[in-house]
Amino acid sequence: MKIAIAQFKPKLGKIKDNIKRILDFIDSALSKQCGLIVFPELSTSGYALRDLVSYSSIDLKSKILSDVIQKSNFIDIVLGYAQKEEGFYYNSAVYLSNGIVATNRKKIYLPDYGMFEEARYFARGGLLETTQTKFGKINVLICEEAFHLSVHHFIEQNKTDITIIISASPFWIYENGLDKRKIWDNICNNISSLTGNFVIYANRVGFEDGVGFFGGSLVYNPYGECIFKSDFLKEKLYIVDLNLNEISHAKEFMPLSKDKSYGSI
Amino acid sequence: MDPYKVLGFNETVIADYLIEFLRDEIEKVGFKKAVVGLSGGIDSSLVVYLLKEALGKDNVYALIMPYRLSSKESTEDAFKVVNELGIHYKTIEITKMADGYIDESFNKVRIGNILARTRMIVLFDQSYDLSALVVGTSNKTELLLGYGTWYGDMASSLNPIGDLYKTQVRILSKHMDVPENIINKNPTADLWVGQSDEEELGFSYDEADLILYHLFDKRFSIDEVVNLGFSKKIVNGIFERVRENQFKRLPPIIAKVSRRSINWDFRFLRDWGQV
Repeated sequence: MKIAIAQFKPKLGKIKDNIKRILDFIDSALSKQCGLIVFPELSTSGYALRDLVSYSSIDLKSKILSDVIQKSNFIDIVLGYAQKEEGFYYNSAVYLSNGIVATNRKKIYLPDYGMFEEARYFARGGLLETTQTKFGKINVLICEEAFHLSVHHFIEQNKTDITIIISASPFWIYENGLDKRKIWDNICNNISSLTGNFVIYANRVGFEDGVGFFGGSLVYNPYGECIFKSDFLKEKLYIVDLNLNEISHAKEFMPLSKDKSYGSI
Repeated sequence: MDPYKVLGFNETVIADYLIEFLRDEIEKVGFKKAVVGLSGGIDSSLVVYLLKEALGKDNVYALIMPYRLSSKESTEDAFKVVNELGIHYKTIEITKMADGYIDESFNKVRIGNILARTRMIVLFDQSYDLSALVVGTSNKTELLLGYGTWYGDMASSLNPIGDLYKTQVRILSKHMDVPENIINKNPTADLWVGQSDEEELGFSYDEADLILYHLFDKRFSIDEVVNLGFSKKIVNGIFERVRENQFKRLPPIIAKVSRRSINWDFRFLRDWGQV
């Protein structure tokens, strides 16, 4: 199965421009026979919206995303977007397939520490969900959610096959010479090796008022090995080949969840 | 729609509030005095009227900084304010300073910006010499429209009228007994001969204030504001001006490298540690 990771650079608040470019990336993935394309968190709007949230959020009932949804007749699409619903705003992700919205997830863990202000502008979502797709069971996580052990636990419990993490993760360095990329490496490694999932991590690029989103998208196979690492800071469509048979093999090597007491301790 | 009704407020309460603001914020940083660039226009006049109440006339310094092409009327109005309030003043001609740099190839916008920035240099230098804080005089209408010079007239330590629309500046000026002719004269940045704010902007302050108020204070959409009876072209134009000038209202962009970058995740008020 070929997948595409759109290491996308959204323009802040420019919904129409962004959707036009999202469609171009989808066409390009289609021309390369990909079965799935993944876009980062808040791709339609950009990240640090602040008061722009009211100008840049999309009501799923409106027609703004209809061309994108239409394309999902030919390729499955994971897209992060700012959602407007009944007077509230959500940091959401859709899984589109067969011309419909298979799943619409609203981010549960909204960071509001350090530089982050998500909880000020977005309402909190309520549910983690697993989506049955033609490629297996898929979890879509939105950035910060992947930092929570309860979410890792959910992935194990749901016996999923593929975890997709979309993010708008800013770059910074740590005192020990490491930087933000190392954290995502660890998270993807943990999830894939402990749950026998493929992990697809799609991070955005571009700067917003000095904050740089670093790209560095990743794919880990179900054995916990990194099989793909994209470029730092570069906007580009990446194609990666996944051998989905590896999922059941990996789960056979590490049948952690066969223990019935698991999760009830 | 009457802007004076829509934007009206209890003048006594707002005057007391702004006077206390000036006293509190100036004194807590260890200052007693303030210095203001006084043009003779309504905004800077209102600010010195408020300052006189806040700090007493002996602690307010007005700087009158004419350029050779400044209108005589502006300077005369500035003197009128100074005499009425009995505050300290200095007249500092900026012609030599500015003309030392300007040459005939400079267009009027460039020259206007240079004059505003030259006055800023004088103000901040006098601030140091007098131990007086620079008090700003940009109103909310100008700040939103970006109708001011970045690091020029927009530069100050604190600003009592930055959240008042031009209409509200007029209302409060009347209450503070700013001379009638200053309140009623045609607004001008006086950066070149015959300049008129409203002509240059292409709309009146009455219109701008109502449009800005509905777009941003009331969070109306552009279409909703147009439905109130304003021209779509002007509403769109004003929205775009506000958007394009956002940079002037914020400090420079710093490349984030560390975990704690200034103003992103290193966040303190200016009042940090002041009493």
